[in-house]
Amino acid sequence: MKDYGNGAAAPPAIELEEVTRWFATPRGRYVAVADITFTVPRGQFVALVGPSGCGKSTILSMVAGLISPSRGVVRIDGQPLVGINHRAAFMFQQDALLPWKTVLDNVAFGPMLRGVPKREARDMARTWLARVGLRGFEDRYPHQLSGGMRKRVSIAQDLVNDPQILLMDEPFNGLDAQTRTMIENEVLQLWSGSNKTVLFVTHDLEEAIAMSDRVILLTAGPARIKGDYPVMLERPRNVQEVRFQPAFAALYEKIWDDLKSEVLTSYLRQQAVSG
Amino acid sequence: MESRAVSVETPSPEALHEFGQLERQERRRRLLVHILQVLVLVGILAAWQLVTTIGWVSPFFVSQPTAIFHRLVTWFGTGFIYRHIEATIYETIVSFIVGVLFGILFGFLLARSALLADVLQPYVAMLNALPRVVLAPIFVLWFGLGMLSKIALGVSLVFFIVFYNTFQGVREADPRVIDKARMLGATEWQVIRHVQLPSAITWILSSLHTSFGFALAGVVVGEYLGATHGIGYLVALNEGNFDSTGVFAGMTVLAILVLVIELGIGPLERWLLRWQPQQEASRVREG
Repeated sequence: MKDYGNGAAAPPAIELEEVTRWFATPRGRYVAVADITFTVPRGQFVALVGPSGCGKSTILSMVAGLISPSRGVVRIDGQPLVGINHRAAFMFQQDALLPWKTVLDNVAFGPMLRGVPKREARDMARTWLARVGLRGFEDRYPHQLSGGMRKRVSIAQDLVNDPQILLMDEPFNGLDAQTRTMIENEVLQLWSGSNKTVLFVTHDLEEAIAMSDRVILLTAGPARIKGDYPVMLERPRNVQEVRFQPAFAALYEKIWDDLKSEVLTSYLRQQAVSG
Repeated sequence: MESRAVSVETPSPEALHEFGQLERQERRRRLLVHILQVLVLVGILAAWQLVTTIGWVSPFFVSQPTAIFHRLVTWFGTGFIYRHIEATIYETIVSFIVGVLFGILFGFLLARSALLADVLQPYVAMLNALPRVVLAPIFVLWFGLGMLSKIALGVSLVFFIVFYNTFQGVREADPRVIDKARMLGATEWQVIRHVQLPSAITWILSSLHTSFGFALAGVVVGEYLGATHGIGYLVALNEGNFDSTGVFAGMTVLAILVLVIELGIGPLERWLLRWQPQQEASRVREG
């Protein structure tokens, strides 16, 4: 057992201890994540930032239990994770709605899988659809909705299960700027006071600072921790307005200083591969 | 947050008017197509009748529309044809259902087990490459001259189409959606039931048209090669008597049968694929 200080304190919601993950490729072993250690206390909103392709998503998949570490341990609430992490919801870059189910049944899907009777699951889904502003769209199919609306359905689908941990993998990519800001604010609103732990992967530094309590900066692959920065901005926040605060700009500059060399490394590597 | 409300656009009167015009144009075009379709049929039949009447082509080889019509009237009037139609439909439906069920089952098994797929792959390909007609004598030997041998031949054709489509459909299931389902709490069985099966349905359905046609083809060929009932048997019988009118009449009955079945499958497909965007659905129907 690990001791978390004075015994009375709860174990961290997420804990990675010397986690390494490699993949076998035709050209040999590709190391995506190298020797990562960090903890996230319950209720914290953490952004993982790094250049594209640095292994951020691999970290999320390991916390989700979709893949297991090659070495090291992932602990959830102090327990080593085996198999799928059923306390977590995973929001992907593209929505992964079931195209053959209506909006209502998509949201009711999670509870139904977990054995909630159909009627009750649908009632829960209706409540959540209203909460994300989609009352009246219950009978539509996903292809009949706009990108922003599909994202909202996706959010409802994830939150209806009341997950303690939210894993988000660049969830707002591909939305137009206005919709994106709106949905970012909505997610913050839904999260605030819920005491849910969020691990949020993005390569957009502005988004990372605007939304989170803490930014963890990763190196160009294999992912290692380059920096860990607390974000001391007041909540509740409006992601649009918070960008104009001097503290935001100062923090942005500080993290960007560390990030840009990693971005350059990653860029040169991609050039070398494609060239 | 008011900005959250999604505005539902009401079309303007001008837009509605324009839409109405487009709709009328479209209706007129469809009517024109139908008229031309009837004219093509009438033209062909008239030409056929003409060349055989004035003696350019002997009716002995190609018969005559009027003679075929009279034969059909006799067949249906005396009720002689019904047991043959019944036999063919029955055999077709049974071989279709059995072929589809086995195809889906094996498609799923092989798609879920990479080992099984790798081991069986060359044998499946070999069996599929085999012209199924050569199996007909074997089936007659095994199952006799009755319905069973025809059903077996139909199944052997339907199975592979559905099998390959199911296999492909399960393999093509979006891995993100599968991961999502797992995260939401799905067991392996629930992943099959809620993600892989519906995902394969598109593929399976796209093969329904083809496979029903193949079921009928297998059955009719089986009947033709040796049977006591069925439209294929009827055609073979008339051919043996050098009765081209009977052969053409049998073909006509078959063609009408296929048309009626097609009319039934279309709406079934549309209903099962109602969740798809129109464009995709039509692509599948044509596929």
